[in-house]
Amino acid sequence: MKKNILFLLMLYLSGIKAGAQCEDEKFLDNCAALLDKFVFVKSFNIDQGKSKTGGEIEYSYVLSKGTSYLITICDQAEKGNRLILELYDRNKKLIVSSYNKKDKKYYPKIAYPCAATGVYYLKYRFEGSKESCGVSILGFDKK
Amino acid sequence: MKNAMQIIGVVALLFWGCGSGSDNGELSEVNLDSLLQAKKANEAAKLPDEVVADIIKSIPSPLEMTALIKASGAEYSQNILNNTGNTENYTTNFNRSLNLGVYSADLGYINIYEKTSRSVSYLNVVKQLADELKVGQFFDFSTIKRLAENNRNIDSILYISTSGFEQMDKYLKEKNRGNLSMLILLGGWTESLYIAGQVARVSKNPAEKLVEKIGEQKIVLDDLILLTGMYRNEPGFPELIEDLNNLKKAYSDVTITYTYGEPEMKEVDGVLVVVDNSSSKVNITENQLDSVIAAISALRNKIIS
Repeated sequence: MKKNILFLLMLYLSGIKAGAQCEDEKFLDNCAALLDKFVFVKSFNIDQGKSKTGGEIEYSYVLSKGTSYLITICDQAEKGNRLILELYDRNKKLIVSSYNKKDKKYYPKIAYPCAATGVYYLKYRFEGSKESCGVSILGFDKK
Repeated sequence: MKNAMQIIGVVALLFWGCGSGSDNGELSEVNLDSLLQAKKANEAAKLPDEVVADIIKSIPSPLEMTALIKASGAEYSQNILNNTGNTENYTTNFNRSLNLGVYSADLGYINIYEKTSRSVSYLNVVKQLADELKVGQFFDFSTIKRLAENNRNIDSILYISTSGFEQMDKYLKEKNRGNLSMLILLGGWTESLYIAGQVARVSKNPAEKLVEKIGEQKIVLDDLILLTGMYRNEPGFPELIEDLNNLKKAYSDVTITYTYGEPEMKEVDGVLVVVDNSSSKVNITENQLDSVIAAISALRNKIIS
């Protein structure tokens, strides 16, 4: 019984720790560093515990024709529970996923030179069911 | 001078609580009807917090507009900007919030053009207004100023400023001061559109990209009207909403057409690069552009007066 309580307590604390890590300034700074020369526009916090749609978290943003964007995806790098971003257009048609199923590859950065202005949807989910968190940052090329 | 500083009118807001009218059981049919209509309108204006936060988050940064203005080849013009001496006119939180957004967009414009000698005075008024609104703690002004004065990395300055705005936004939401967030956002958007309009107006042949960018703001305007509508019972908002609706009228015949193309992907140095084969086109005539510029100028000049 004691073991079970201890296990539950550890599980709970590990959840808090994961959430705290993602809200930490350093975590954001490290993710922002991936932008290179792109200008920071917005950050998106992804906390699976706060998702109300079965683990998926969706944001939207008006992307502009002629502007090159870079989206960084930062997670806890847990095997089997990586953070995946799917970018959809205004008609909710999938444009790109940060996970390439064929090659089983995860991309931490997506470059999107936008050719059609409109509302785009950024859908985030963790591939596993374990509660986790991450941060994603949108930047644009000011040139 | 390779430096600049920028603060964006990011932000978010909270909810709007709707009040109810009196109910004495002796209302005439006409009064009852108008009350019901008003109640319906209020309910329509209420949006869940998450939806509101999502809309706010989706509004593009004024920085994008400013960068495009410079890229269009337009010369820097100090006269376009709000005078820093106007701050003493802003004595209510309503005016302070709007003009915090305005000055932040101005600061972005100044620094994108690398006019660093000007940026410090704009940084000072941004600090002053932020302090008066009790949100100055989210901006590391001393670091930003030091970086600006020493002509340090513009990207660092932009990052510190923008992330500061995100923290401020979060704080305002938590403190149920979302209406201020909304106003800061609106002020920044208005100023960046105003600057773009002025650049287009003085140019005999404005860059097509810039004109398109002005036309595209029709998409954002609808969301801003939706958001301001939530606060329509608060002081200052009815007039603001009226001006936004005038702008909406100016945009009414502007259209955006889309052509879909299947996207392609390639990997370049570990980055997944999308080749976007879709396209959009903004259809805006010279007269429509003039009307938009006139309407945004009217709104902006009211805000800064």
